[in-house]
Amino acid sequence: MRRSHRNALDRTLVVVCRCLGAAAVLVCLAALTPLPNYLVRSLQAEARLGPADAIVVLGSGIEPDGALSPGSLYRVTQGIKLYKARLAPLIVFSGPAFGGPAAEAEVAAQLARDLGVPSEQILTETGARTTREEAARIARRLEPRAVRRILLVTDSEHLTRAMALFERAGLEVLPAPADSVSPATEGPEARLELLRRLSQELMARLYYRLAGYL
Amino acid sequence: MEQLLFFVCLAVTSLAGYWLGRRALGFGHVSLAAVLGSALECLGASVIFLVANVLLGTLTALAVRTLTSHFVGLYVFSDAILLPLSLVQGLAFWSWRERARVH
Repeated sequence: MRRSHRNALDRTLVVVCRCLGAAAVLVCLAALTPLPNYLVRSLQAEARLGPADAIVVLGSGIEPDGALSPGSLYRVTQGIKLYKARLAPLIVFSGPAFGGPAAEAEVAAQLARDLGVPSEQILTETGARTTREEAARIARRLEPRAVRRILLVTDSEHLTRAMALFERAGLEVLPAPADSVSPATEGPEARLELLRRLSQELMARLYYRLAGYL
Repeated sequence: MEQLLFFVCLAVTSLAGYWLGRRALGFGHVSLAAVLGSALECLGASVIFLVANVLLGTLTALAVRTLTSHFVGLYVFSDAILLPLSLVQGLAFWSWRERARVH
């Protein structure tokens, strides 16, 4: 490469890096303000609880030793709470094994049984690996049971995308958020985590739109 | 009030670093503004590495999903460890550039 081209490339790199560096500093400073909370709130679906035909708890991950991940535990607990409040007669747990000793849905179902939910009121979906697959497979499983309206349990920022997919699959959806990091959190580290989850969800929405899933 | 403590700690350690550099180590002849600019550039280079890592990881996972029967989750590439590792990449790259310019 000629020297003049090399110098021009270097100057451009310096300008781009300075701008991105300044942006990174601003993101870190934003963690000391309520900005991440506002951003998450603007993207999340508000809870709308009411009677439904089934409660659907989406998967969030399982540890290699077969324990539910913290996010999964929040969702499962919310699902059981809604069942105990008699908002629906059926509860569906989703989540595969991802190569581990047990499927997330089976571990969640066992926890529900231990907490008093009858086995015949529990359905497990262990084959779906993405939100899109969860919507398609669960809707197919619920069709013979004449389930029309569901309470959908997942993280609040994930709910909007998940609701759209379940509605596309023909179900009426009531959002029931379960957050492992509260959107009202005030700690800088938790706010950075909110920003990370926000970017992750925005990228997922972009991907789903580009792929034509939404 | 508790958040003010962050700024106090940052200010105290920054002043201590400034004192160490200027008085004890004799860095006083180098412009502080230029050094801060360089630090910002280094951080920016790390952001470029971070974005590149996430994009490459996502595209690879999608390619593996499409071309084989193996499933790779996209959430693997939102792991927090990517941040410090990308920072190291950016730091190494920018130090390399700075040294190359000196020679």
